[in-house]
Amino acid sequence: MSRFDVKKTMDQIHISEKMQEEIIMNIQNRMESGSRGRWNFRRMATAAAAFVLAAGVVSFPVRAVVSSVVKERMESVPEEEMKGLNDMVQSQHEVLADGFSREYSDREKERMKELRQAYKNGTFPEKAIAQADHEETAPEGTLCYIRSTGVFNLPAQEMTDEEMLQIIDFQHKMSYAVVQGPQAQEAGAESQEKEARLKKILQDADGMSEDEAVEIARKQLETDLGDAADGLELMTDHLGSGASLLDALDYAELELERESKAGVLYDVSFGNPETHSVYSYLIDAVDGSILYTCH
Amino acid sequence: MDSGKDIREAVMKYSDILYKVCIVILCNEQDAQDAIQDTFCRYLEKRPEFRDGEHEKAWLIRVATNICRDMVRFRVRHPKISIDEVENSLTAPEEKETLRELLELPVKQKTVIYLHYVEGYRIKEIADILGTTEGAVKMRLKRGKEQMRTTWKEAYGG
Repeated sequence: MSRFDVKKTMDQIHISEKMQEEIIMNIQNRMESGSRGRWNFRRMATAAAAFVLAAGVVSFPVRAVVSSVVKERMESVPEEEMKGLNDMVQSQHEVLADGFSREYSDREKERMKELRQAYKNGTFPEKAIAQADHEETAPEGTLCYIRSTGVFNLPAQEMTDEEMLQIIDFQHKMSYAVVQGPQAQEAGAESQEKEARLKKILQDADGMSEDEAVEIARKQLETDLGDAADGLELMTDHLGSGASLLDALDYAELELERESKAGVLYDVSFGNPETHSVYSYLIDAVDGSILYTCH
Repeated sequence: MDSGKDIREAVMKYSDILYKVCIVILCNEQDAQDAIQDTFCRYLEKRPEFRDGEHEKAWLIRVATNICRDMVRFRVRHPKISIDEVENSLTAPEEKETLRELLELPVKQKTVIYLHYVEGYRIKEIADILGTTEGAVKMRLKRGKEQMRTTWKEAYGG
């Protein structure tokens, strides 16, 4: 029994066309009838997944909060309000990204891009977005953020610039609140500490750079796949958290023939976003040998 | 996205991977279909904004695993094993055995094994998707592999 057996086996299993068609038909019927499905209520009542919040989880990238005017605006938000926003996000167990009650119109999409830029330059809304704890208590037909579900209820008609700016402003505040929150600070400190520790080990052992490790992995990929390697891209991170490739893993669990000399390695993966295929190599960060391959 | 075309596009793009995730966790085709439908309905209801395809895929997997987990928790309907059609797509007997071994693992372990060995996610990424810690993912991976080896040895004495 090996990892290759599992992948080889699962790669032969596919959803049938018949099931795909049934799913499409059932979803259309369900959406048209407004039914949310038999399991939904129960799930909503019992969902209790821990929400590990990283900056990348909120749909608006935290790195966007760099403009000095925006930073100044965020810093002027009362501490209590920021704490409340962070608590809200932490409590949204199943919210991975902002939701919207309807799709933006083409004009709204275009205008939103322009307003995001204007916001960075100091164009802010006159008022804050309206909020409601639950869908049932939200005002009808007006822009409102539902705190329990993380959904922006949009007005039926196209939004005004003020409304779009309220959304942008609120997203910035949420991101800022999360980044400043104790959970993110703690996670960030741990992550930085770990990375610094690994880099120190690497430095002491005269280890190689990330680029060198990627080059080794790429050459091996080309050896393994030949021409098929051409369409594969380096995957720095599936979820966009910008994490380093440098890592320390539990070697016993990976059943490696030998451990990395200094205990650190690079985890280099290449993938094809279209086919979802992934090819991973663990490279000894000191001598560059390949410790583990997963195709 | 609210048109039939968009629904079709999303289902065609992601239903295969969701099917595998759901089959592994639920061991039942009908339940897997229900879970996939619920996942796409939530996708349509929430209309999330994604940075890219990988973010979208990870979101769908997370929602699907949460739905499956709750279905397992409250399983009152279809019997656990009814995967004959799934097995029929496998030709070699050892592959059928591998599938059964995988499906027999506890939900947490087989989910992690699937995401790591089949989908190629790294440990920290699986932790993000499942909303747990890297340590927990490593432990589930380790225990899952040990369990599969034990099953293999018991069945074949090897």
